[in-house]
Amino acid sequence: MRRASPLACAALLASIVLLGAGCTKGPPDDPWQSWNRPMFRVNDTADQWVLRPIARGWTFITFEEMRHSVRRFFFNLAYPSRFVSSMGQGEPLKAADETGRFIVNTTVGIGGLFDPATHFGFPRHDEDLGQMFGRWGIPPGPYVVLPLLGPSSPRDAVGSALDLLLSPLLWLDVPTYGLGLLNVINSRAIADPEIQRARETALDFYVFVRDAFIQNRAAAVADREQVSPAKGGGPYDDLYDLPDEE
Amino acid sequence: MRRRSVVSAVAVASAAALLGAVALAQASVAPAEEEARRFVQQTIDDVLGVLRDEALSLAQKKDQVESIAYERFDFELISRFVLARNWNSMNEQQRRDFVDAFKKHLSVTYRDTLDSYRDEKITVEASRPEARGDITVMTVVRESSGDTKVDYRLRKTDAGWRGIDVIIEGVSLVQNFRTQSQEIISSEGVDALIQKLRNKQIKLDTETKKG
Repeated sequence: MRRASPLACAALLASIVLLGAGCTKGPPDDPWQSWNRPMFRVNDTADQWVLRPIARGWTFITFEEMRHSVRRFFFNLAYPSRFVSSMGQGEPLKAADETGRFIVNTTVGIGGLFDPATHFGFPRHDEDLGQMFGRWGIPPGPYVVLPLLGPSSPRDAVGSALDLLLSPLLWLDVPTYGLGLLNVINSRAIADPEIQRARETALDFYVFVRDAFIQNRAAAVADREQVSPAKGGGPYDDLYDLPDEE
Repeated sequence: MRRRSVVSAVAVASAAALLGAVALAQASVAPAEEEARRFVQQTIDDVLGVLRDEALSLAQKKDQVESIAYERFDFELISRFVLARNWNSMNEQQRRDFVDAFKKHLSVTYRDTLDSYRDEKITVEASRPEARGDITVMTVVRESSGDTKVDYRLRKTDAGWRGIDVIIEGVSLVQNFRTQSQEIISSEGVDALIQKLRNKQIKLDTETKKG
């Protein structure tokens, strides 16, 4: 049964890609908008009426430092996918940093609840398999809103499914679903102020999220230190042109 | 005796090498970049100074941070980047209305983020020259929940260096607002966009007062 869930994800993904291919309207950066917008509304409603109330309950019964520890615990557990992604991008030094972090934080940091590795000089690298595919030159493909899972792209959905397969939660003898759920609730609780602010202030929340997702993933693939004018300028260079006055 | 002189020779040599390295490191950062970094550092210091001032009430802190932001960012330039080609087809009144509404919108949006200020550390990490003489200054905000990358794009205007974009975890504010604005303008027009900005603001203002 545990093995079935990534398979189910893949099947779901395949059906979405097929379905999306059927309706190609919408603006160039969002050809599947006619599927995405209604799905986004469904997810947002589920978020506001189910997930958010649970997350607020979690916030009520925990301390802030506790929530940060839980977040660090799950982040530490996702080490295998960061290791594979770093190696796959030809960055063994990053993979070594991550290995050092995992050893130190799992032992001295009590199972990853704390992060002494940062103080010992092991920097953190947020890598995942979607970024690795991006570095290989695989384009993200059209923006897609997945049921319950939210914003993604065909490339990143495959990456996330593989990230999940590499998670020790799947192959350790632990209550996988319970812990997975805890991770979702805890992450939602931490992000609550930002999510609510964005909902209130965005002119169009759907477009806000879509654009933020696309920009954030592109930047994660590029790594900000490596964007230089020598390589053709920053990612948004024409953004800062002043169109000629007529 | 001899040993001593060897030691001091090594010490002098390494000191010289160190000085050379420091000089090189300084020389490798162009003066414009150095200025831009100092501008960002100064702004961070000013904002943190206000936030840490225990004599000020929260409302006073927000007002002071707002006036620092109004002074250090060029809102007309930011508005023009957001509107892109649409700016050209707008009349004077519409342009002024948009800049004004947009500025207020950003202010109302970001005022409340100050509520959650918890003595975070902000450091200037690096900088990068961009097209048109712009400089991007990269900073990291360190919190116990994790680090956040915040980049500031600056342009040298007649009034000196001014912020023209903020890029949080790779998400450019200008780009994000441009995408949102374009969809609204193309379906409903510029006046509807300005009206939307104003409506949001009124709603948020009353919510802030209630809270």
